[in-house]
Amino acid sequence: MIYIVTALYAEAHPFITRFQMKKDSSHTRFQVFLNREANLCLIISGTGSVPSAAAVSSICTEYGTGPRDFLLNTGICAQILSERETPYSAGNPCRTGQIFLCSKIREQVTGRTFYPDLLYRHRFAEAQIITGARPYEKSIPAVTRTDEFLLYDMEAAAVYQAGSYYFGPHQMSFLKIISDNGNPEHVTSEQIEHLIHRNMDSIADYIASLQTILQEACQDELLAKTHREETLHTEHQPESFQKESLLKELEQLCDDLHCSRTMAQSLRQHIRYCILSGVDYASVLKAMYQEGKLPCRDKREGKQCFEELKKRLL
Amino acid sequence: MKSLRKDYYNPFFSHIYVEEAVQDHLRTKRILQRFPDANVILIGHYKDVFCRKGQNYILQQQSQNLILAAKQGSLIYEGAPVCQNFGNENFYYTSCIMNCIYDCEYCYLKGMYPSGNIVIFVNLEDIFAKIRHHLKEHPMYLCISYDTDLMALEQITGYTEEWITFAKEQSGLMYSGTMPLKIEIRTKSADILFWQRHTPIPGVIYAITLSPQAVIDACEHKTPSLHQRLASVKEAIRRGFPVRLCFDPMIYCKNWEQQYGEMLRQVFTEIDMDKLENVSVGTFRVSQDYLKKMRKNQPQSAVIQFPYQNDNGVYHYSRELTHQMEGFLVDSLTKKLPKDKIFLWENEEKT
Repeated sequence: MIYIVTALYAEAHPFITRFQMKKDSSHTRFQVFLNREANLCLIISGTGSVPSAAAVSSICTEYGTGPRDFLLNTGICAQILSERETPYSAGNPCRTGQIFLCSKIREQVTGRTFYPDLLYRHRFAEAQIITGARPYEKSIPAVTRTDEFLLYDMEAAAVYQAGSYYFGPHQMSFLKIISDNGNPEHVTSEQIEHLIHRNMDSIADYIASLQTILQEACQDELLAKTHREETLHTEHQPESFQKESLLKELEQLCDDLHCSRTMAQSLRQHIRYCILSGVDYASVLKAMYQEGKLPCRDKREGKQCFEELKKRLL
Repeated sequence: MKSLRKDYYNPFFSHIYVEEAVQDHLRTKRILQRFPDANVILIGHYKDVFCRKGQNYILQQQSQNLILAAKQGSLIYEGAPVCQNFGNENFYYTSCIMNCIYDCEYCYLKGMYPSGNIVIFVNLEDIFAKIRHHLKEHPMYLCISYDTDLMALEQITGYTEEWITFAKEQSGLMYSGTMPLKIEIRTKSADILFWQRHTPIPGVIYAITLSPQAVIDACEHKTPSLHQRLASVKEAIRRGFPVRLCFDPMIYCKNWEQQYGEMLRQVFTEIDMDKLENVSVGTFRVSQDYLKKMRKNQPQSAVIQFPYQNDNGVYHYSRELTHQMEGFLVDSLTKKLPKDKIFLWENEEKT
């Protein structure tokens, strides 16, 4: 699932429309919209660090996020124009409506900095963002003017920090669209919606890439699993060791060997290695059962038998 | 069907993180010049990126980034007990680069580091100064390519060349007729041109790791083939470079005897064994803490999921299998090399 976090309804609305998301009315504290087929879930957090952290935590706990999920924070931001270009600044003149993928997030109040991984190809410009506690206004000397090209918002650092409890840095992206450069009072809901809408195609492409990556990761796991199971079934394994009964049979084998906890762990590791390296462990076990070496009568015999089994397997 | 997944990843070194303190360092500028299209991100400390929680080492290796930083604190370390000292006293290692462009499934770096990105410390001069300080008191045997493959990164860093120059500068100082500084550069790279561009320096030994092609195919991803490595070794020896062949780690597979036998046949055919400095032999071993992480990161890797035996916090093959594998290799090598040139890891003894 890709979890999209926006601060405002105006930022969310273009997503709801584009991806035909339906409101999940079971949520009362935050507005949540879903498209289960597309594996998309959107939550509207409200403005600021505390609401956005609470929203991320709420949705991630509710849905039980895992390694195959992704967190996307998107919305508008302000620009802090540099006085001059530095060798490392983005170098592009900034303009309202331009979208950026954040490569570095600084929390203004603590000075802490966060770096989402940038593993996947994209077609956005990249920029650093400062997350502050109140809207950026040119007239308020709250943000130090620097030589660097910077963005400014009120959520990214909090979303990253709350997201870190559920996601790795490779599972989080921050897409921000410039709405103003320090005059937030002039930005209307209609304008926000328009800015998001203008960039929706490129955002949708990025989401589609993420969906494919996540889907492929799942398929890879499934294929690897299926391949191992097919190998077990078609090449090496008797009926008794097919997928559904593997765990049960292992349990039985542990009983037949009178395994201690340590022995059982070692046995599982041996079988895991045999499966991965294509060793026909089932034939070895079958032979030992036929020879009457299994099941064992007691722990002592079990230990001896386990030693023999290990030698036969490797 | 072939997966298109790799197309989703950014190219290697698309992003370079640079500590603010070293952004004007000459080596930083030199490395950045090699990547004019990279996005440069300034950072406070390399650990802010390298040590983030929840990183996926394996995914990051698909799209590795560079981190340029200054090494602080300990600059050289005493040799670890699981490493060979080849009879040298004052055995140290240093880590001027962390992580590797090669992707060997069994590599302990996958268990040691939280990130798959590569950290390059640009303040080599501080490491050199520390070594000079040690050399005033005693000679040193120093391994400089443990936590990376220095020669594989030579095109990017030029560090091997810098180390060679440094070693040459120290060669004037002698201890009872022995070299004050001996350095070992361990590698799996096979850059024949390197030997053509450089001259042999006394005290700089090149330790080249060889594995059967089946092991390379299964576990040593992105590394040169056995054929390429042998061609490189041959050229190095021909040009008079001191070469150590490392059959370490030996990796178990069902037909290991056949695989290692075939590899040795190729080695004996291609390499003039009389001209080797020495060889090292050792089966795979790794600390339990590293293996735990490696198993978590690579659940599908047979070499990592092998049921190793744990003794005093070090996982290794059973004593019997270790003796069989190492014995086979040592016996075969003994036919071509004097025993005092064959070093076994176990007990740090010559055979």
